[in-house]
Amino acid sequence: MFQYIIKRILIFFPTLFAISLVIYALSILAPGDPVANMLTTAQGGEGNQSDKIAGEEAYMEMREKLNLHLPTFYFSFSTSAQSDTLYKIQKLSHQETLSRLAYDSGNWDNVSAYYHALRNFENKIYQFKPDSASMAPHTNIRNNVGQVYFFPEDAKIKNFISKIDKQFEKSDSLKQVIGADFENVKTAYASLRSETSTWKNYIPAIHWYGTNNRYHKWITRFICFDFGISYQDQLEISSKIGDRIFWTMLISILSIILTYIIAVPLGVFSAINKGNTSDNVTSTILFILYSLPNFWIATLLINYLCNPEYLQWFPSFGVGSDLVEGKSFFQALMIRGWHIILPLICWTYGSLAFLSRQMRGGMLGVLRQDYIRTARAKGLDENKVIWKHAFRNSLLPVITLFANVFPLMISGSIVIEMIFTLPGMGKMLVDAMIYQDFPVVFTVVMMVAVLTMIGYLIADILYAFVDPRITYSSKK
Amino acid sequence: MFKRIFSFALLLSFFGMYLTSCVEEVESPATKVRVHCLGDVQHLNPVTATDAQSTIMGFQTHQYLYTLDPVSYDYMPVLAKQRAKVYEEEGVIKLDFEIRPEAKWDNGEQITGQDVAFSLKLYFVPEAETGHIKPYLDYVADIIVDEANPKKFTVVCKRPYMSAETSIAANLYVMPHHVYDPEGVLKGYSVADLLSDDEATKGKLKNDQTLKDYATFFKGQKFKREVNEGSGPYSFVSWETNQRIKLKRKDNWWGDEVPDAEANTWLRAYPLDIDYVTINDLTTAVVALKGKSLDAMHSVPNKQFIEDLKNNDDFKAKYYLKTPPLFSYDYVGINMKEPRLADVNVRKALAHLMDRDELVKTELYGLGQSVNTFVHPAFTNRLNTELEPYDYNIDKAKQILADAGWKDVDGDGVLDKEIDGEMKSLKFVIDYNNGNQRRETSCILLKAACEKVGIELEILPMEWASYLDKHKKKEFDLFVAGWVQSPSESDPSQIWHTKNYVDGSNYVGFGTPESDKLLDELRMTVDDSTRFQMYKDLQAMIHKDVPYIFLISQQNRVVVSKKYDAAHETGLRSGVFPNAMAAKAVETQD
Repeated sequence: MFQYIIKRILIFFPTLFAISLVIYALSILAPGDPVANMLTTAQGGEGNQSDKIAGEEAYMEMREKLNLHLPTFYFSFSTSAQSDTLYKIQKLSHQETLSRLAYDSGNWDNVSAYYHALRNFENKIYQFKPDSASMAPHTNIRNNVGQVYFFPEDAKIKNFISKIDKQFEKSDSLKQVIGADFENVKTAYASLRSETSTWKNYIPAIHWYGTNNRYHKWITRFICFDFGISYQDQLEISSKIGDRIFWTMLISILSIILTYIIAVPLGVFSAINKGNTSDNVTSTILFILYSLPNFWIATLLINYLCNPEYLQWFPSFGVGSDLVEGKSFFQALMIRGWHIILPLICWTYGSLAFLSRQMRGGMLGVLRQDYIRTARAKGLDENKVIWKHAFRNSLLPVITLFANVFPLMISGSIVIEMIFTLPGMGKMLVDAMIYQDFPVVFTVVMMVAVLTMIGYLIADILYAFVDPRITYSSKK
Repeated sequence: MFKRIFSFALLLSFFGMYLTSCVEEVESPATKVRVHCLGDVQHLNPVTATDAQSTIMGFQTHQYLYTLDPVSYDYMPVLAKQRAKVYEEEGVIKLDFEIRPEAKWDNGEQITGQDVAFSLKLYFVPEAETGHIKPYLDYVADIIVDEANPKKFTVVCKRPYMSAETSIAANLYVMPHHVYDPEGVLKGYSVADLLSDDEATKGKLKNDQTLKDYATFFKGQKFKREVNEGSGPYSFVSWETNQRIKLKRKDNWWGDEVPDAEANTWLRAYPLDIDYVTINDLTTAVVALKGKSLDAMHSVPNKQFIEDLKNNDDFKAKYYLKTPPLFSYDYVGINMKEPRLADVNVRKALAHLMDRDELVKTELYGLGQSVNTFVHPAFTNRLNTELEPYDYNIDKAKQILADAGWKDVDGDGVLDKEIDGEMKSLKFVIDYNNGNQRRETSCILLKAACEKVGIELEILPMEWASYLDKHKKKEFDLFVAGWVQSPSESDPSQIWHTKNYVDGSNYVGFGTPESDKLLDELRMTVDDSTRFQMYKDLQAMIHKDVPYIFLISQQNRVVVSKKYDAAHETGLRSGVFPNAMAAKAVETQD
């Protein structure tokens, strides 16, 4: 047994590593650019923001702050047509386009030359001070250049080139100053399309980046319990979690205890009285409970039990911070308890219904067994038959469910937290996902992963305790 | 059996009575205001916070030189004694400010021009997380503090700018240096250096280790979670995550010594306590209001405000119900670079297909109005009233499209036309951010009308990040969005100048060299009447070109307890200004 536990714990590490990789990969594949989003939230409505240069500086600064200027992983596995330094390109959207172009041409050097020619041309455009004659073509060129970074398609780029050419025809002064730079773009693009080596797309290439990469930086800090800073509000993630985990755990643990205390005897009771009116009534009630969505029940409870127009028995929100000031410990406990009754009910009733159905099913299966009949036949007391012989054996499905309880302890429930305004983990996690606040998402998901594994380990151990047929020691 | 039920019922009613007795303790005295907020503040550092809730709290704990009056929307001098003297000297714009003689920090030290200079430097410390506000202040070249009277100081501008006076006066929190820079690090740097445009100076400061260390200190967790101190009437007491923020009236606040403080909204501070109470759900918040756990809230859902609260006499006897304007508008953005939508006739036809009155009726329950331009109707000085609205008129839309040569060639019920040698149909996608009911209704109304004229519109709800991404990449046909504005005058360049097409907020690609020129001149024009005329000209250009279908502007729904003298509602984002809520005088019989 001991050996088994040690073995299981050792397996934790590779599993966690795999989970961290999956979350990390998902965060990279998610649409949107976290830097751009953060900068957008920082902008006001109609400000005089976004001088181009200032905007790019801010973008770069933020990118570096988030370590996004580093390679994503220890190595990259791609084709030899692709660049190993693509991550150095500032903008995520540019990276996507260039990667597509590299696929088309098979020649990264040419793609890079084209990109640099384009950047250079764009800079020149922004430096150019137009007079009244060159104003219109200048504006047109400027807008089109910004767009071309999003186009990998040949037709679109050609269309862009012809548009710019037309603008140059309208203004000689413009052509004299920046015409040559545009010629460079055209030449670079022409060679990108002519000197193709698409066969390179079929040659695999592995690039090694070493430990100076984003994943390494994140995971090494994570192991030392430095979860970093939230993108959303720049608060330390450990402190954000610290603020919320207490209430989430308190309510979940109370809810779990309540669920088991009520559901297990209820399930047993139903199983014993299978087919009786009492079983039918409890089954119906439990089915109804199970199918009622908790956001609806929560809203109903608030509307009818917290509202002076009906019954004002409970407070409608929060955890009573206002009211506990200057109260004795016992009074404070009462006030806090009074605040969490309704959330607790909403949190509990669904799982209660589910668990008691499981318990009933498990119990029924066992009651049909031969040894139960034997026990009854040899004249054992009915209570003894049920609680000593049947109950213990019917616990297996319930124990399997118990494994899921651990992650539930910290993951919280967005719906209940929102409706009752509890400082909980669920809302924090969902907000973090919406804002692409990956450090927060990583941390919570990793914590959930650890707890899930612990849950399963405990469940496995419990199996052995409950059912002597299950053993983890190797047979000698 | 009945006995059991009876005793259970008795027990339940005792329990109920006990609980009810607990609930009654909730109501608070009129010297305390509990204001609802939907979410937490970002953090406590007003300089680096970017969210609305932080600004709302910042109004009570910190001060600007001027703040917008919540009723007249004019700038009121708060720390400043009066409005600045603006003048030109040797081709340079200068502003003379003077701080109120009474203005003091909590430790008794005078607030002087040095504090303003310190605060400005704070915003320009490299890596200080102030990118959101820097562009509003970087026109300042230097601040010169009068040696004889340090309460007087002169702001020297790098270039003319229409909001030169208000931009520094109403965006710069004046911060106490003894709290935020106890070691005096920034004394070693001048305003001129930190705000310099010179690349060499910039580079040097960027790599300056002392400044880097200071930035780390300033944006650290201490000022984000624990310490918040300013010259405002309220001091920060505590912050409980997702529950509430408590503020307390200062005993010896400098504003009490100002002779005519009553006349200035931001120098009034009647309640002894202000609590910002977080309730994440608006329906729950209304229940809490009814249960007297809240004293003031805004953004009550329209339906509830009109159908429930306004019809509830009991409620109306206890609460003020007000509907100040909200300075924001919804619009349908049209991708002007898309070949079919580049045809102004198609855009005009679409504008005629939007039933905005229906939108006001069904979504806002009448609490709002349709708009025709980006200037809020309340600002008559710069509103162009001569624009003829694009009315909801299906026949007119049909006519415009027919005149422009759009007809159903292939018999599929959708209009077609040859553009650049290619047959194109009027099939578009309109997207909005998933979960926004008002925007969804706008899409549905437009789609229904489009079907009647032979335009096929597909509605696409999108997740927020993808929605933004799509606009940035210009991969959209139409989208529904909104802009939140400040009631103060702001530079329209961000949304309408072509230089903001690629990376900025001009998503739709509006702009001509003429409109750009107008915008460039507008932001440099200091004379009011000329500038207002420019606003009107710009609105006419936009109206003619239809880059947006302007939809609606809402009214806020504010509810405040009648234990205060008035509702003190405002069109500013906060909805109410609790500092002015005084207890209602008790009516006495003669």
